[in-house]
Amino acid sequence: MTGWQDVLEEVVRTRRSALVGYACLFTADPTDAEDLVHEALARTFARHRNLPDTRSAEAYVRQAIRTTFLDTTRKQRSWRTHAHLFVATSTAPGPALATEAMIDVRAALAMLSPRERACVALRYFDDLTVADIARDLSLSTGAVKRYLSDGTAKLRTRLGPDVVTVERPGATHAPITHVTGRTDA
Amino acid sequence: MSRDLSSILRQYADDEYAAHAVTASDPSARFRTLVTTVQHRRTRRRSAVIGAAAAAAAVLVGGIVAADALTNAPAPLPAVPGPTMTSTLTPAPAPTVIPTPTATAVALPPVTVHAGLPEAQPMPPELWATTTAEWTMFAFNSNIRNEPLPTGGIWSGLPTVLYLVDPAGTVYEVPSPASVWDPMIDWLPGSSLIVTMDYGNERTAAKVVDLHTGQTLSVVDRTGPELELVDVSFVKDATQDVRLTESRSSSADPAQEEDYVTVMTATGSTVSRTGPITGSITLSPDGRRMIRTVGSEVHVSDVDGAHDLTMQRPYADKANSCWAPRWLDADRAIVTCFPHGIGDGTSNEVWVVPTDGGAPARVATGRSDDGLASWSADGRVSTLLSVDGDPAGTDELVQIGADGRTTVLRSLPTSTMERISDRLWLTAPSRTSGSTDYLAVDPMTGTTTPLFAVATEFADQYLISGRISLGA
Repeated sequence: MTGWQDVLEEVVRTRRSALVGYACLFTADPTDAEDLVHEALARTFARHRNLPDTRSAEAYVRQAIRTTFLDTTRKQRSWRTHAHLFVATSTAPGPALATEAMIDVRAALAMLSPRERACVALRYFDDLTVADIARDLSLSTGAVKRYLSDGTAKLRTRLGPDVVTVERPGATHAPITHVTGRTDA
Repeated sequence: MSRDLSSILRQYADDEYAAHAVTASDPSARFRTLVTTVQHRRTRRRSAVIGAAAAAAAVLVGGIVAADALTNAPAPLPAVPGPTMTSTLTPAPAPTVIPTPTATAVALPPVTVHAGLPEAQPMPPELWATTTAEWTMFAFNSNIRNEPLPTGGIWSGLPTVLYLVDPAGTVYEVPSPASVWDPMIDWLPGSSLIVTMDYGNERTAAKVVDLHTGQTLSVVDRTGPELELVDVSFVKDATQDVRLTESRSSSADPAQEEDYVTVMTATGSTVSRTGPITGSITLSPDGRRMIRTVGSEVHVSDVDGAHDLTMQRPYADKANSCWAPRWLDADRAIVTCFPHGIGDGTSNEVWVVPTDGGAPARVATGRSDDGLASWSADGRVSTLLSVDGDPAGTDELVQIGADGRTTVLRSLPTSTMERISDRLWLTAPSRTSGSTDYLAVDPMTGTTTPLFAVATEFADQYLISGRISLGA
């Protein structure tokens, strides 16, 4: 790997689906997640010039997914501006590919506000602390706790009252390969 | 038996991953599209990303301050590095005079005919001397070659074709012997000089090309992972000088950047070089001054650091409440603030801040600065504000008077907007089936002028570059 184009190609070829899976936690919609990943990749590689390998690039892209999602709720049009450059795709899985559990979780996440989804994803997927989430989202810790409380309550109404949240102390940075260690290709 | 939410979310992400892996589009096509997008943005990084980068830093700094405040209130503000710029001005060499092309007796060359290219007229060489800032030059670069088209057939590839459009909308094909494959970044009206930018792996290179003679007059090549040309344009001060902004980042920390601003003649002789400049900078429309954001402070100064003063900013007592400002016109900056947090943006505010240290004034709420170029004339300035919280995506072309009053000239669906550097265009389905119309927008009135139509199947296959000066 020598140049940003090599790293970008490798990320697109081997990690795009994993990144879309991660982005779905924020968007609750696979098509929007695809757009979000595209925008996060563009932002990452337009800004950072020293991305030595796929792993470090993916870490930047995951961070960009978080910030881009939040930025987009502020400014809904950021990646739509570039829609004319997109390659036409059909990314939403058909009914045969979508499991019942997957549809349930997707629908449950869709019930949450963007901030609630972001807080829930960062807390219960990325294992960030409340203080870290507050820093990342530029919110007070009190607001984060409220969004987490409201968000998990909404999720329980859809997923069932038996859903519990297990507090995991300590983790402050998300491992970059939560979704899976597999590669796309 | 209870279920852990973390496990549910991870299983869900894994399921979406697996589903996407089955249905994902061709990664090579996605990669090519991304490369085009990234190259576009690297070109425009100075105007479009500084705010985000600075704000990201502000979020981090503000977040640390906020976290400290929770445990150690009151927390001191983080130390703000002082200006560390140095000026290495060198004596200006004698200006290079490039002869203005004159009429010749040669026959007009044929125009390129292709369904994916605009219809054009041949261009007589003497036209160069008559061009003004009201003319537009743009280039069609085919960015996908030898690939299947979405609508069938094979993309056979095209050379870059350059066009000039006069104020009346007449399109001329530029008869250039030069093989200009790289995106054109700027053109100097009244001359046949353009500057292009080449992006390679860890390499950026700017070229000044005379389209009339086909000669490459100068090449500025930056190679290595830590060096990058980020912007280049003609100075447009009655000389043929070129201004380059380059950035040097640390391999240990890509966020640590130093910028340099160089003015050189068209043939490559250095006129002046300023730097290193710490912080995020944005140059004034004439390129002589800069707004520099360092931490929570915003400075305005000459590019060599002289006449530095601290600009006022809205909500100065509240960390992490505004994006970094950018120049609105020669005397004012525009900045988006979110005093109630980033949130959904519906309470965002747009402020105008005098660059002479004067007090900021709020000009809009529920809007955000689009971050693109502004256009000024007769004391008025037009700019684009995005309507926050609008899922359809809408920009408003807004005119801001000298008294700060705003007038909305027109609303623009962002899905139809194209930007070619500081020029604003719209696309719309043509009355002719299967074509897409390109319309130029007059930023001072909001009126549109049809320029040309392109077969829709080719419209997305082009990288269109160029620049219009609009009197800048």
